[in-house]
Amino acid sequence: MSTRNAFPVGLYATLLLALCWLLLPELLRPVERTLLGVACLPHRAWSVLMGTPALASDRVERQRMRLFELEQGLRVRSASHDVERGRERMHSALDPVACAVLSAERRGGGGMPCELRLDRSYRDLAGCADVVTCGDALLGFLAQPGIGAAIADTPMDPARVLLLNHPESRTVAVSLALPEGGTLRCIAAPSSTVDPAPIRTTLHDDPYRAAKLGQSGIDVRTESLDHAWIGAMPSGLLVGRTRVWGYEIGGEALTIGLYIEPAVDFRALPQVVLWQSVPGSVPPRLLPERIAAVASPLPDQSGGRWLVQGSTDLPDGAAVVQEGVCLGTLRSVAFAQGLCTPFAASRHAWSLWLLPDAADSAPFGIYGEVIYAAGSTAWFRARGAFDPMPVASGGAFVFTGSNGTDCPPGLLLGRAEPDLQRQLWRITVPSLSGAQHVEVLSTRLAAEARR
Amino acid sequence: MTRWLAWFLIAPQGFLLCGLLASSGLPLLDCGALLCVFCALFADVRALPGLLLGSAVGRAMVDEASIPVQILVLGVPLAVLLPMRPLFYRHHVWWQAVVALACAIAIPKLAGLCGSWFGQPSASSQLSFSTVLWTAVLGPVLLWPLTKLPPLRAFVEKLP
Repeated sequence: MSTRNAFPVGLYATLLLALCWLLLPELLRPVERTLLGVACLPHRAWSVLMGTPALASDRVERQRMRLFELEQGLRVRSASHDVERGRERMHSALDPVACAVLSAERRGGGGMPCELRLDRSYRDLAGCADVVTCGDALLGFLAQPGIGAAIADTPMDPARVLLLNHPESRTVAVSLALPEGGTLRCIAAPSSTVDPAPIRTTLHDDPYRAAKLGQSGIDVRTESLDHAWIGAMPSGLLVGRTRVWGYEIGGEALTIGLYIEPAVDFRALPQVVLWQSVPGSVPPRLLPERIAAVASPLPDQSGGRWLVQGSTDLPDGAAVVQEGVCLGTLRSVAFAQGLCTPFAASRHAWSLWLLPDAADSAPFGIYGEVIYAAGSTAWFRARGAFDPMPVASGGAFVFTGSNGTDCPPGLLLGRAEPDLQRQLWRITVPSLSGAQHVEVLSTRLAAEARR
Repeated sequence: MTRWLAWFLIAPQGFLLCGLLASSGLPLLDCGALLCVFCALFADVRALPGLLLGSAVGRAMVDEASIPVQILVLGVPLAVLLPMRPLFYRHHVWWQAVVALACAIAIPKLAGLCGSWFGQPSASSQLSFSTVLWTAVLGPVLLWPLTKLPPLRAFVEKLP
C-alpha cells in the first residue's frame, strides 16, 4: 500500500471541510438541507404507501378538555405569583403586561444569557415603563429599537430585554441588611463573563463592612434614589442574593468581590412582566401560526424520531405539537420536510416550566438536559442545584419554557416527578406509535400575517 | 456516476434498515461502524470522501447532530485505521471483527466528544454493550455479502 493511499488527501480535506462547516454552519446549511431532504424522500414515499393516520375523535376531545384545564391552571397560578406579586412594589398607576420569553441569548455576566426576546414587538410595548420584573424580582430593562444593543432592531421586531448582567444594562442602586444590623448600600452592575456570578456590587457606602461580610445568601433589593427622575427605580424589588467571593486564610475570609446571584435563573425564564401606563393599550399576544403536517416514525436506532411532512417549508427549531402536546423540536430539511427529535430522545438543553400539583405552589422554571431515557420516560438533569421542594407533595406537569422563537412557552410536554436518589427529574411524555397528524408552530408566518 | 447515485440513495437507508430490523426483534447493529469497516478495509481510497459524506447523511437522519459532526464522528476512526490497512492483509475475518469492535466503541465516544465540543449532543453517544458485541460478531458476516452487492461492490478496491 502506497503512502498516498495510507494518508489520503481527500479524506483529510473532507475532515477539514467538516470543521469549516461547523464554524460557518449557515453557509452550507442549504447543502445540508438538500442532502437530508433527498435522503428522506424514499421514507416519505414509503409512508405514503402505508396509508394516512386515523383520528380518534372522542379521545382527542377528552385530551383537549384536560389540556385546557392545565393551561388555565398554569395561566392563573403564574399570574398570581409572577404578575401580581410585583404590583405592590410598582407604582399604583402601572398595569402589568405578562410577556412570554421566546429565547435567552448572548453570554453576559457570569457566563449566563443576558438578553431575552419577548413574544411582543417594541411597538406593542411602546407605552410600557422599561423596568422588567418577574414576581417581586427585578430582571432588567426593555431595550429601545435602534439604540445600543438593539441598534439593528426595528419597532416591529420582537422586543429585547437587557438583563441586569448585560454589559450595556443600567446600573441599579441596591441595599442589603447586614447580619450584625444596619444596611449596606451599593451599586449593582453587570459582571464579566468569567466572574463567578452574573451581577457584581460596587461603590459600597461602607467598604470596610462590605469587605467583612462573610455571609452569602442575603437578599439584595433595589433602593429608590430620586422619585422625581423619569428613570426612577421602584424600591424593594429583589435583585438577587449575595455571593461572597474570596479566599480562606487561617480561618479568616479575605473577600475579593461581593457578587449577586439573581433571584431567578435567566436560562429558565418562561415569562416576564412589563408595566404599562395606559391600561389596555397593549395588543393581544402574537400566537404562532400552526402548519398542518403528518409525522411518520423513523425506524432509527435509538427510537422515537419522526419524519414530518408539511405543505410549506417548516421552520428550523419549531415545536411539533399534537393536540396541544409538544412532541419535540424540528430540524428543517428540503422539500417541506423536517426531522423531529422527541423530548425523550433529545440531548440538547431545554428550558422547562413546571406546574406543581399543590394548588398553592408557584409554577417554576428549570434549565437542563435529558441525560438518558427509557422509552417515553426521560431523566432530566437540571443545571444548578436540584430542588424538589416545590413538588414535595407529588409531581408536576411539565410545559415548555423559552426554547426559541418557534417553540414558545406553555406547551405541555408531560409529567415530572423528582427522582430523589439520582437527584434528577423523571419526566414521562406521551408514547405514540404509527403515523400521526401534527402541527408545526411558526412565529415567523404569524408575524408576517400580522404585518 | 451511477454508482454514486446508488450510493447516496441506498446508503442512508441502511441506517433506517438497521433500526427497522432491530425493532422487529433482531440484534441492533451500528450501521456507522459497519460502513467504517468497509471504508477502512475494502474501499477504494479515492472514493473515501464521497463514501464518508453518504454515511454521514445517513447517520444525520437517525441522530440529532448535524452532517459535519457525523463526518468527524465517522471520519476520524477511518483516518486512524486507514494507515493500518497493510496489517489487515487479506481481510481476515478476525481483523474485520477487531476493526468493527474498535469502530463500534470509538463512534459513540467520538459522538459524545464532538457533541460537547460543538454544542450538538445526541443520544447516539451512549455506548451500548449489546450493540458493540453484535456489531463485532455479525459485522464480518454481513460485510462479506454486502461487498458483493451494489452499491458497495462498485467501491471495492481493485487489488493489482
